[in-house]
Amino acid sequence: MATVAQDDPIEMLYERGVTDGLPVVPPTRERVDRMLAGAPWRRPDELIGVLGPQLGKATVEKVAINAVMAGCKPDYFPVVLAAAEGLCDSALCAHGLSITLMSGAPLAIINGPVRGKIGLNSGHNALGHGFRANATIGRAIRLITMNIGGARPHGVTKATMGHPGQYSFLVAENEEISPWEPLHVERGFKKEESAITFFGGTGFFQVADFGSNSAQRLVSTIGGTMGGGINNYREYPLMSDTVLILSPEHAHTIAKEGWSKRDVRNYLFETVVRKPEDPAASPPRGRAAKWTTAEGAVRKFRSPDAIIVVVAGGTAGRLSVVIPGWVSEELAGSAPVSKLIRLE
Amino acid sequence: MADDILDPTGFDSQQPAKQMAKRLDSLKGKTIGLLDIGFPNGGVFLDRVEDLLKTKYGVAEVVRRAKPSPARPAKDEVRKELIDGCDAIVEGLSS
Repeated sequence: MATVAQDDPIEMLYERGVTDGLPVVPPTRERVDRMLAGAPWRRPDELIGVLGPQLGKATVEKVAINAVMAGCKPDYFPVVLAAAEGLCDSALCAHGLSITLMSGAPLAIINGPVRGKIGLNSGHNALGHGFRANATIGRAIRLITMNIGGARPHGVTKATMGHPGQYSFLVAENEEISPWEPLHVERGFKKEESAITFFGGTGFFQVADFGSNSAQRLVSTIGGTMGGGINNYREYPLMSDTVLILSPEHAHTIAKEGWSKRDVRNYLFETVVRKPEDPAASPPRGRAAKWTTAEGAVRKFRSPDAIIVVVAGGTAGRLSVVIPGWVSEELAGSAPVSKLIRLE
Repeated sequence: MADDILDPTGFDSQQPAKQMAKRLDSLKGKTIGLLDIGFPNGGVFLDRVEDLLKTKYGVAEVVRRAKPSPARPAKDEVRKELIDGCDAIVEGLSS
């Protein structure tokens, strides 16, 4: 077997167990100082929060070190700082997402002017590879989780399958093409502000519908895909809260009939159910009992508000994406959290 | 070169693995804590464990506590109560 150079800092960082499996940029003092200069209004020793499962201390400098390793530019640092703040918010329950057997990863949704300022891609390949800001900010979130939170695979992190989004799971909303108000405005921010929203996500489903020309038919197709993941017919419902990422074509097909995001959510809440005659249905009990319709069908969603709707992706393609959540807030699981991205 | 590489960890990753607590010589007369982690039917299972601990092994007292949900960690006061008040603790799993 060929030997590797022991004095190679990349190999040394592998030896220390601080990488996500891919080589990291060595966090030298010089590089970390350049990263810190991306948010000069924060002191390096300032504590952002404490992150489980190991209750590690997320200081501004520790976050900067992980941002360097992920390959971030200093311009991205304000986003990574806001991400660290979100991860440390106990409402998100990043601790649980890191140690669950389920395939979970925090999905980061970025809104506001910061997208254009740092070159986040929200068009074609919005959830895919190829763009430094998307890839490295998403990766920094994982490295922070691993190195500050202590969520090391085969250590305390033992997911049955894991999740490819554990390398990077980030989407920037395509606000410029969306027919509706952006997510951060729905969640109380000004349009000219930038924000990061975290959602405790699991795997994703593609919704391919090239034929539906009406809002009702298209949203029904989306609901059909969502309904494949109904898990709330037992006492311990999972994957109820959901992020729907609509492609621009799909969003405009729905919006041209005057449907708002609220209309989409209400329709999905009412129609995505598992009827008693379905062979996969079993009588709801415990917490799930209150999620039934008058006809005894079990709902997928605990409320219309459990569905987050954003628009992203390229202008060609009647192809959207559904990302079911992990354990919902109602079960003392994960609630979406949004944080302001301070740019000065 | 290595000296110039900063540490990205926020916790003490170099600490040795936790030592096992001293084993009990016997369960007889002891106080045992059962922490229900909140999965369905965990309570049914732990009811039976409690029963067996008392009737078969002579445990004097069983302290039952629960996590808020399987997803969330036990509260600090619950952890402290179990650690301070019990000779041994079983962290109970799911059905």
